Amino acid sequence: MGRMLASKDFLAGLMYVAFGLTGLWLGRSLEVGTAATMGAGYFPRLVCGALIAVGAALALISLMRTGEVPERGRWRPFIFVTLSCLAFALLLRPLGLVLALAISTVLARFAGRDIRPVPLLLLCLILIVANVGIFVLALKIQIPLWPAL
Amino acid sequence: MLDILSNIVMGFGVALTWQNIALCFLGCVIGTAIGVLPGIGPLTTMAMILPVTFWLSPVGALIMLSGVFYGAQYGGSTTAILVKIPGETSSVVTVLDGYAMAQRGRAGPALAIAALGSLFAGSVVTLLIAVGGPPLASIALLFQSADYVSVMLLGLVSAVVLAHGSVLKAVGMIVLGVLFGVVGTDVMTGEYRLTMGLDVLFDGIGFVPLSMGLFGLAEIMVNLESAHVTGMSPKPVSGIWPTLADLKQSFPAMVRGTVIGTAFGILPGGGPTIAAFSAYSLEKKVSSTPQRFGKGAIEGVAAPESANNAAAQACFIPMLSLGIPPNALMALMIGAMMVHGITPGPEIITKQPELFWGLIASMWLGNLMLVILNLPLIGIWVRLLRVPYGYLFPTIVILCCIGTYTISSSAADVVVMTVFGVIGYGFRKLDCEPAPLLLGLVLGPMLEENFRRTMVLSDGDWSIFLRRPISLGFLLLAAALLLAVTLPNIRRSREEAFRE
Repeated sequence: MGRMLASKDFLAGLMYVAFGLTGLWLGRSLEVGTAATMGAGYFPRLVCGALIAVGAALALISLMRTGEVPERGRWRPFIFVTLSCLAFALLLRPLGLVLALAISTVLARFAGRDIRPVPLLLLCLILIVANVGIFVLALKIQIPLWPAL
Repeated sequence: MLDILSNIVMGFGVALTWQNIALCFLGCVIGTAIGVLPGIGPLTTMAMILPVTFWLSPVGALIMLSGVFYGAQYGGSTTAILVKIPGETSSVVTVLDGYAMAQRGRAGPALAIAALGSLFAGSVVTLLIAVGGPPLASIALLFQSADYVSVMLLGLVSAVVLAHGSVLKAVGMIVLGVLFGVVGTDVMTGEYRLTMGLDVLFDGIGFVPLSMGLFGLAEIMVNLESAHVTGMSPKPVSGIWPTLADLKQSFPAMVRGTVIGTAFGILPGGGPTIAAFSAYSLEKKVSSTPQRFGKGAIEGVAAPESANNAAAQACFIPMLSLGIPPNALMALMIGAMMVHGITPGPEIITKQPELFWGLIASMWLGNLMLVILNLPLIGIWVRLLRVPYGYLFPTIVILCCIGTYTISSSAADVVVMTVFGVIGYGFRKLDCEPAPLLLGLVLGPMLEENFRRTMVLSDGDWSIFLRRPISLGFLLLAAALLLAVTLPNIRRSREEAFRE
């Protein structure tokens, strides 16, 4: 039984139900209206209902047979890729493009196994030169390059 | 006929300007490169360069993006044949016979047949779009909103039928995509829906942040968990030209592959991958010597490579003539068109002929460039495989971040992308394919708009969908497809097709 409750299909079914319920809850104040005069909430409720039904069916059917259990993930790639993107988003305005790129690149590289300093420095340089060249010099996008003092 | 001819001439007039030739070439080069590199697909790449295309003319942007797409089909076969690693999923079957040929020292002819097959398929389908697109669009002009609702439902149903693995899971992903499409401002009432009060979601969940998160970031997180895929050096290739016997053997396979590829390309939810698989299994069935397959049969390279390129181009047919994307990649093209202020739909061919015909002419041009890029210059591309993944993946992460940021100079979009990276990682772990979700995201708002318009016109009467003959036809087709997939013996052969 424990194995069934952790199967990929069962968890996917639960996930659909959870998304559907969240959708219903977030849209709880939207007006439904009638089929002829639909409010903003008519279609979302229809979609959420369908999603919950599909999710429930998937979960129930998965209980009738033993399915595959998800493979164990590794935390390191997941966490460092996420951190790298968040760092870029949060540091771009205060620190400017050059420093944000450097920090994000270092964090991204930590997601892999190879963190030798020399290739890392080289990669940072390549990415900074290429991105500043393409986006700031060629496409003229307004991004601050250095920290605002 | 004369009409088509003068239109094609106009198309070449558009495609042969210096700027558009350069963009087509650039698209093909990028496409080949990412096709060669495993772990990065055309969808991620197109999403990454989408922001750059905002600075181009609409035709130029579409020419470049399509170049990336079909260029990837060429590049993907190179690594499949030389090092047994398919650069793209659509080249997975090419590995079987292509790599076997390479081991016998016949890598050159295998590469040449793959490229020539792709060129043949590409030319045939380009002609087909030119001949078939306009009439299809004029039929589509008769469509009313009820018919659009039904044809989109048919599209979604067929996407489910053709998806890998569990049918219910695929349905769930599509519906979830439609739900994500609801988020944002309601076009009819102006109310904010499901935005959680976040400013960044008022205009809806962005197409680019979502696809870069689900495809770019999630892919990297999963790839890093297993062994690294690049950083190797395959043997050099000598003698690329196939013999006359090779050509004789592979030509019928190319024709069959092209037909199958076209069919699967037009079908919603189809696309290059399933087309290549089907073409290979058909080739094995019709062959008088099926035991040669898997041991270096040249037909086993010609058929799937023609099929995947035919499919890659045939899926432009419903996108350009109906404005309905048959798969996630075309959904991205629709997204690109909307960014440029072009409303996809049957009016494009009549109202913006230079866009339609220019794109078609550029496809033919691009196919020609790709043969040149891939045959004499093969050595350069193979060298790309020596780039260690340790350099590649941080570059992709950074490009995803900066690409998403530049769309509307919004750091919040980068956070949205990161959130979808996390969600996408969960999807992979649960074997939920994200491509149908993207289709749902794009079709959802179109579906809702047409559905609401229909209901207003019919005064809330649902039977309108059955009373209009066009709509009824689509619904019956959708029902037949659904029924077919639940029938036990068809279901079994579907599973077999995916296993192979």
